[in-house]
Amino acid sequence: MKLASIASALVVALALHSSQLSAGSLTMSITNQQQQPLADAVVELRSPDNADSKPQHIQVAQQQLTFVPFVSAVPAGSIVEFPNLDKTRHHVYSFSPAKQFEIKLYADKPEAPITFDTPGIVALGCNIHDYMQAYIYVSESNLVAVSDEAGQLKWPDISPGKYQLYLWHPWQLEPQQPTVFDVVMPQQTAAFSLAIDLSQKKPQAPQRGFGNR
Amino acid sequence: MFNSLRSKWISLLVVLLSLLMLLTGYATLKSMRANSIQQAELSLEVASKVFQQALDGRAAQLSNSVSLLATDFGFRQAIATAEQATIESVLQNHGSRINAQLALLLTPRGELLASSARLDASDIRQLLPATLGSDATTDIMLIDGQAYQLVLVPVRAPVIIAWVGMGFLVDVPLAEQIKGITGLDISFTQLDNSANQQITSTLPAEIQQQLKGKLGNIMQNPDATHFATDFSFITRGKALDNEKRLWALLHMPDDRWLASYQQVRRQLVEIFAFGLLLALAAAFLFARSISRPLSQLSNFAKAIGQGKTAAPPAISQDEIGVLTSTLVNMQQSITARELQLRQQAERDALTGLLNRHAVEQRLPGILKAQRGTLLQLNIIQFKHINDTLGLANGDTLLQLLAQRLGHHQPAAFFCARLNGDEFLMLFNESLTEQQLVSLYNSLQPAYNIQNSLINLKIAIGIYPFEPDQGTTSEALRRVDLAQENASQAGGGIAFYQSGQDETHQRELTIIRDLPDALDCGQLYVVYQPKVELASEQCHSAEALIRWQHPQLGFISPVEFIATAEHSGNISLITQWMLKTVIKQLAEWQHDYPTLRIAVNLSAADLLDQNLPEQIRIMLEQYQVPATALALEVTESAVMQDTSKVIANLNTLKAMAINLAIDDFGTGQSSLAYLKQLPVNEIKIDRAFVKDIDTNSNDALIVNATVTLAHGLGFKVTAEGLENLAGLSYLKESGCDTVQGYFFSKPLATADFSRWLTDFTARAKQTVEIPE
Repeated sequence: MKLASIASALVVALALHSSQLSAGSLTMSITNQQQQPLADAVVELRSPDNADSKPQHIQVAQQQLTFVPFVSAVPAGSIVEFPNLDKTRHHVYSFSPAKQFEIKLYADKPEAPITFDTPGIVALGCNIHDYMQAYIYVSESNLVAVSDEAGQLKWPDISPGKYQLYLWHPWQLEPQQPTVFDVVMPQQTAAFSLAIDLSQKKPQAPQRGFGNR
Repeated sequence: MFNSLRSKWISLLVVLLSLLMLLTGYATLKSMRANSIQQAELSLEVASKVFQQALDGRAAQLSNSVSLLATDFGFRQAIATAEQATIESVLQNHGSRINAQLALLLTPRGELLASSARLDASDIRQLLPATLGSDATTDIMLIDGQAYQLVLVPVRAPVIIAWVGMGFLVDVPLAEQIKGITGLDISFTQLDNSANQQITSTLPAEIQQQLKGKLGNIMQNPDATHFATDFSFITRGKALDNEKRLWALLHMPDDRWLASYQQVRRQLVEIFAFGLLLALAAAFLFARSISRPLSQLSNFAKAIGQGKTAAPPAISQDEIGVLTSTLVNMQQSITARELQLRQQAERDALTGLLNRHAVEQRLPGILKAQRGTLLQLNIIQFKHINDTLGLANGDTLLQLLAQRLGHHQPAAFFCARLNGDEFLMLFNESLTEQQLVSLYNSLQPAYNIQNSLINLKIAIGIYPFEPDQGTTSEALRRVDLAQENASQAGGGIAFYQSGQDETHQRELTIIRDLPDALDCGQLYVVYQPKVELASEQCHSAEALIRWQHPQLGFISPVEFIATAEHSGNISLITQWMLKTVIKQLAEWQHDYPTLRIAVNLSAADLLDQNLPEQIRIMLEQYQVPATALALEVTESAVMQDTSKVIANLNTLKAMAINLAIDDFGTGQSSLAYLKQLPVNEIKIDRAFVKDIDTNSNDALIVNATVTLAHGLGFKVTAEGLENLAGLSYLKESGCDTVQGYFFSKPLATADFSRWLTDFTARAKQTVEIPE
């Protein structure tokens, strides 16, 4: 049911794009330094023509003692819900400069969603589950996406033109400088490689004798 | 010191044992010391590990504390505010919660955010490597001059937003804490080149001072184990930080293993001393078991050498036993040979009888203890027999005589040959006259020498003796005197007469004193005038010698001249007499130029070929004419060696010395000699003169003699006229001169001069006034 609502949101977004511009689709594939598909990489395409913010409303759920998804990317002004799907309570916080907040011990659903109106990277943690981590990339541009497990990003409807391309990954070894990216073709593909700390694993709940299971 | 066998043995054993023990002791102590050192090192190794574990434990504990602190939400929240004052106060607050002495905060990239101490760039730089990781690290660091155990922990929210560091001083309380676990003293020090190195130590202050002196040396090679003789701890260093600038020194007291080492050493010394004593005792006993028999043997050998009879030591089964039995054999051989030698020394080689030496050895004991009879035998004229039969036969004769003496019964206690033909017999009893005669007779039968029968004349002197009556030499002299008497008697038996010995002593005194007496004027000359009957005048005299001995008184010239002749000293007297008379004649030459003095010569003088020359020299010396000297000789003197004597007399006569035969008529001379004798005068012996007035035979003899002498051309002097009656007989018989007491006794020099003067005067009166 939740998946369905996410899917419907995506459909709405794509509809907006296609309605605005009659443009082609852009597909990017991100790999790590070992040419393996890199998931959870964020790509933001900024363009002066595309200054309007289109806030989104997304969820970063706490499920099986992890944040899901691990990396989210939203334009500034977006609202993020933190529904608690676990039996335990969580204490979600962020001390990141882009957004500092704290939702003290709660169950089910917090009293209010959190609005992320400053572009930047927000690291999320849980005060009672130190290993829980998640990132929310708050972008200036509306054109922001997170790579899937296959390292794929896709903009089905994008206007041709010059864009500032920002590439980010939580485990990246070096901060990436923005690059200029031209969108010219209706069916365009691009590939990027990013060096990351290969030793990092996505946070998972420790196999303990007691928990939510 | 090492001369005796015993001390050599003992020294050898002691030296060997000492060497063995020293080597053993050295090896034992060395391995023990090595072992102790190994143990000490092992202990230190363990202690070092325990120390490391203690440090690690504390690091883990501190790390946990700091990690817990770093996850404190409030802490993280405060740090996230990025407000300096807030951060500093939260550092201070949380630092004090876990008793950290140092608290600091770094950015994720290692830049300093806040610190409780003043940190400089280098302090921060050393933290940098730790911030590159993502986990908590602990290290010991020198910060602001202080050693800290520093725990650096990331602050996650949930990404690393900062590094928080908490420092805990590495100091004495920590060292004490670790000492509580390891039991070792610990010092902390830094490896830097400054002379004044700082140490923090659990050691007492004074030992810390000692340690500071050694620190330079130890820190040259801090990893090693250090033993110092003047420091009572074994020390080993352990680096605290990765850069090895900070060191913990672990000190283990060395008294524990040193004590056991010393105990073993003391035990070794005791064992050594005990062993040495034991060895000394053993060596002493062993050496004695060798040296005692040796010294016994040595004493035994010494006794043999001194001719003592000593019992040999017990004969053992070893080499010493062999030596002992050799010595015993030697002793027996020596005894046997000595006996043989003694027998040889005591026996006369020719006859097998005892010799004089043996007699002198045996007699003293016998003379002292018992009575008995000593016989000395002598063969009369044995020299003549020897000359006739030859020496070999003479020897055989002596052997035959010895056999008879040896076989005589009753047997003599011993028979001995004293020398030549002199034998001695000793009987343990007083022999009866019959026994003596039987002995004498047993020697008489002829002796068979090469089928010739020889008869011997034996003279036997006998000396019976009582116990302790005189010395050996006295006994031998007495028996010799007795034998001498027997010999003089021409054989037979003569007993020693008591007093003979004293006569003999007197003779010895005379012989001894005579030379000195001549020199010192005890002897003097008297003159007896000879009166010429025809002219009733005196122109000659006979010089007679007199001796007044200081002890013996007046000694008869017959006695001492006979003694002197016997002892061969007569020439001394003759020489003295000639010299004295010639000297006196020289004085009288002026007053009595015609005076002639006669000097008596003995037989020995007449045999001396030098005599005429000596007389001539003396006459010349004193300027006395030879005609003033007359010499008188006896018939028997002439008979000794007639030709030699006659030659001498001829020489003297040729010198114009008047010669006379003295004592004529008593000798055994043949009248045939008389005509050969170159003499001027004969003197009729007093025996025919003194009783001439009463004995007609004497008168007859005197008459015949005078006639015979005058016939041969000799002048005649009658000696010993004592009265007037005799004078007329002599006048009648035709004697030329008369000598005797009737005219004058012999007179001393001065008296004679006076008498001569008076007589000459009276004679003149008589001539002037005839009867």
